[in-house]
Amino acid sequence: MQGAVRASPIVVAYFAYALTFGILAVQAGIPAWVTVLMSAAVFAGSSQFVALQLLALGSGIFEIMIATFFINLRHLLLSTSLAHKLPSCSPWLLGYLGYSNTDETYGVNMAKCPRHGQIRPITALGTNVTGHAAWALSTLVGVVIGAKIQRVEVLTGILPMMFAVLLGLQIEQWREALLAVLCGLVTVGMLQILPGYLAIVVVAVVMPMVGMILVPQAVDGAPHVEGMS
Amino acid sequence: MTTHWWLLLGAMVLATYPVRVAPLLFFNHRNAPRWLQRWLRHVPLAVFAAILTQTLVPQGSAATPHQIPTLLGAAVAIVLGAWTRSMGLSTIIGFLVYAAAVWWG
Repeated sequence: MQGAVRASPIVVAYFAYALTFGILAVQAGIPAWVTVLMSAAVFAGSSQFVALQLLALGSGIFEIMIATFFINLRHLLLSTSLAHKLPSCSPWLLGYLGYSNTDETYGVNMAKCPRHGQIRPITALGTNVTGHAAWALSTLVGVVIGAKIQRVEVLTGILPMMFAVLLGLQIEQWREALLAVLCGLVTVGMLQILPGYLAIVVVAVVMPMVGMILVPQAVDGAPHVEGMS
Repeated sequence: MTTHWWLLLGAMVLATYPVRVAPLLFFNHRNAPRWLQRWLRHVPLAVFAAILTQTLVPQGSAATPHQIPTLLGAAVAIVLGAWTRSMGLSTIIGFLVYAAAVWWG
């Protein structure tokens, strides 16, 4: 339950984003069942939007698979980071927690974790199941109302706000603020030469090394955070 | 045609699932080395900063609508997140700033 409550900001953001995905997918001529099943089975927001784009461009399944793989490559890092904060638990539970380890569920799970403590698997499960259900059900809603909504850009604006907050929660000292600014500048540079999903991977690998030098006293653990209240 | 869709879904799952699960299974029963832990400490910050930046930078056809409002709202959301440590409050206020900027922009 605790996990479900913690997931409430995710539910709001996912509702807007998945609703948009459902609407756009149906408008692009993708069958409703494929759209909903994609959200339920793949559960990867940015990959799904890119898949839509590629399908519209007439790309093949293999190209979409490669794009999806690269977009999700950053989760190699997120899952490694999460594994370190989870106590030993069953492979089945880990299998699901990994499956549902999106940017947003990861962000909430890490943000709520005490600096030197660990994440309770049951809380993480609550967060992830809630996020997963919200993603799939909101896609369903988007598919159902389909073409009836014309303007949805304002709603999708919630997602960048959420990433901004997740970033803010990682900043506890001015050196970390400086690191965040550097990350942003390097990303802008990378975007000039690389597609977005690769730029993220490069920044996610290289900039933490800069962080190791810039923030020498930092040890493992995530910053303190309060709930919805 | 149905087969094509199933293949697409299967391919996307295959490109998503192993990447997310393998590190979790591998590192759950053993400790990552010290240097890896120190490096991992900064991964979330780098990932979120990169994703956020990407939504703010125009990229060809995939340009985000309402860039200035997004920038304003995000700046407020970052500061509020770092300052108040409250996720829900910061997200809502950031979004309100964004929505207001879109409305009057």
